[in-house]
Amino acid sequence: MTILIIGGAYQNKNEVARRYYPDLVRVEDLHVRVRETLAAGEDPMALLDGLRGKVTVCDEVGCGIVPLRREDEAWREAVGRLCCALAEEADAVIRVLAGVPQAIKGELPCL
Amino acid sequence: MLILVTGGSASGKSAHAERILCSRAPGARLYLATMQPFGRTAQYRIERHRKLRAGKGFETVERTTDLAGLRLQKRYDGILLEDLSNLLANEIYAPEGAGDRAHEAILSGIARLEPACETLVVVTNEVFSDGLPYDAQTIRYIETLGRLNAALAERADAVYESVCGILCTIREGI
Repeated sequence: MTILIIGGAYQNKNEVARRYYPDLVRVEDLHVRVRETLAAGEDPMALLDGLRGKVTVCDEVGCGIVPLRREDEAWREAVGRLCCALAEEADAVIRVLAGVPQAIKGELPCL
Repeated sequence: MLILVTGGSASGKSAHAERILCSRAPGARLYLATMQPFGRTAQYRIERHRKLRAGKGFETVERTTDLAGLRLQKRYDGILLEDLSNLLANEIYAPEGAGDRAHEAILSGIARLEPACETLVVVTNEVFSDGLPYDAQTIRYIETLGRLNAALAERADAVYESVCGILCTIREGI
């Protein structure tokens, strides 16, 4: 099962991942990994392979003004595109707001 | 019919807006492009959007300011206006833009487009949540885009938000 959990920063996304998907390997802070991947001169889309069968947590970073620095803009774009690609494959996409999870694709498992 | 599609950057909103328009407008389709083709990033985005639209039968008109002054030669089944955030930036920052009257200029432009087609899909942008401090002019830009989105959403037949390529319904029906 492949799961994507997104939302703004500090919304208890990791806690939602732990509580709802205790049996899946967890990948936290995908947005940070994307930045590291870009800094290493690699294509962040290559991360997709390693996210299958796991629960991935990522900050939503696209809802702001276009960043002035080109590397910040490229990072924001890469996070968005990678999340679109992962969401397309994912069995469920959960958006967390104020700690409350909402399934925008698939369903939340019953606890 | 007015449909508003919003979303953050790289959230898949363009693809959804095109799909919505194509499903509702079987005949003549117009793509109204607002981005000024300056700089490498703009070129990259324009090229990306061209590829998305290729083979879907869109006519393309570039209009970076003064929507209300646009004279269309015919009536369209569907018009896709992409996008409000660029149009507003042009109206505020470009020398030929409406400046302080940007909000009114854009709303009256959209009011002129609506009777020119059966379905008008407007793409806008969520720029409101990075929490960063900005200069007064940028804050005015953010505020004006927020007010524009709210004004359009209020009379739109449907409002959607694209999140990670997933189309979330904010509202359907008035």
